[in-house]
Amino acid sequence: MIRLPEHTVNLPEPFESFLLPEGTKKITIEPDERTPNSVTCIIEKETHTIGNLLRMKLLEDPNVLFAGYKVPHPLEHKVVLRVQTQNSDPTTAIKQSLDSLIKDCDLLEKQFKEKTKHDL
Amino acid sequence: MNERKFDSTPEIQILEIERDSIKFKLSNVDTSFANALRRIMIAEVPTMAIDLVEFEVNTSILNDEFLAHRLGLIPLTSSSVDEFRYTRDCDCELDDPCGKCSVILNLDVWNKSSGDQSMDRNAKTDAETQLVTSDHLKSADPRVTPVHSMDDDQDDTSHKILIAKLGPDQRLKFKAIAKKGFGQEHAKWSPVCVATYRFVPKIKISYQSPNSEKTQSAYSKIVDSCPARVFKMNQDRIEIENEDRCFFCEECTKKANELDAGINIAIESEPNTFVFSVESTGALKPTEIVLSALRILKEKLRAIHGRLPEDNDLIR
Ligand code: SF4
Ligand SMILES: [Zn+2]
Repeated sequence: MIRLPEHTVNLPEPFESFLLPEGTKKITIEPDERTPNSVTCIIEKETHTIGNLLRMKLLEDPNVLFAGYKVPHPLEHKVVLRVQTQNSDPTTAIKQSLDSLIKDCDLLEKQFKEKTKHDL
Repeated sequence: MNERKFDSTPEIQILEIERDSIKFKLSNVDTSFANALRRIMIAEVPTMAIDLVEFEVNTSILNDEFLAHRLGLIPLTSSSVDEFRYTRDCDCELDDPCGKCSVILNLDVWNKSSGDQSMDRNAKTDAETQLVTSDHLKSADPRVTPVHSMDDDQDDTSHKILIAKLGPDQRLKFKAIAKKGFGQEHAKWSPVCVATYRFVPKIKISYQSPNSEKTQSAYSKIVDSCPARVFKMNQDRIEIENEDRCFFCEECTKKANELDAGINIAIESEPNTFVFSVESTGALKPTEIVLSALRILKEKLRAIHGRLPEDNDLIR
């Protein structure tokens, strides 16, 4: 395999968008000092797929006051999610949302398998 | 926008399954879920595709890189993709990939026809040109073969994928290495040609004034204004014939307002309902793509859940 010397190109490696480098944390949570019950959650190597999904699910939770996300830069492969709740731990709210989404996936998987078992 | 409850139950309904496409209706989920599913089908469902090619002989008119790119885009049967590892996770050497992470496909085609050496162009016929197709790729692993061979019993070259054309005495010989990957790294690993969803139209017609000669002609103008031919005239009323064909262009609404014939047409979409159509490249069955996408989504969410700190760690 021919590879150009590293310094001749600055093209990002294609795997940079999904491969978590060793020693990097998948998730960092930073509590907000100024507002109560709010955190900024940085999820490495995720895209709008997860960012938007999680945000919309959090917004369905009546206990969540604010949920928003951004992908800070197209070459930085991470999602920054900010959550503020009324009176509980925001990470618990995130977990509940994840649980609900996992349940949805499970249910759909079962339904799909059941309904296509003759075609599989 | 419709407010959704936190714990409403999603539903899937199969509309149509073909050999390489599927249509299904996903309801009671948020747009973000439909979008996540679509994005994962395109970019994160793994398949096998040719990734490295070692050329031994290439006297064709196409250069190595060009051919390697073409080879990468040939869909390979990937139903057993779960049995393979990603090369980066495998313990074999990078320049000597093993059978757990890669599949070797060999090709050797030599157009031995000597050709007419005379300078008379008309004497050269097409018969001397040899087609190199995906059928010439000999896979070392029966689980991973070029897609066309799945159901091809008749000798019909049109189903095979053309790689190159060889002139007299030209030869192509190489070893291609197929690896596991997904669309985020390179589009050749994407298992779908098309993965889209659309909303389900709901057309509401309300009549505000009684029928007359004038309204009759207006009605037929409205019926004709629809480019998807959704409506038809039924005596003196407009009937909705093919609601599914509507693509929300609002021509009918505009026409109705413009003609001011005492008729109101409202185009809405069924809330939280999506009709997916997914077309496979042939690498995976359409049902496998959807199932795989659902599983991957679940795995992603689980991975995030597992890495979140324990409750109350943050409350100080
Ligand atoms: S919105 Fe467009 S496609 Fe739909 S019914 Fe009206 S004219 Fe036809
Ligand atoms: Zn290996």
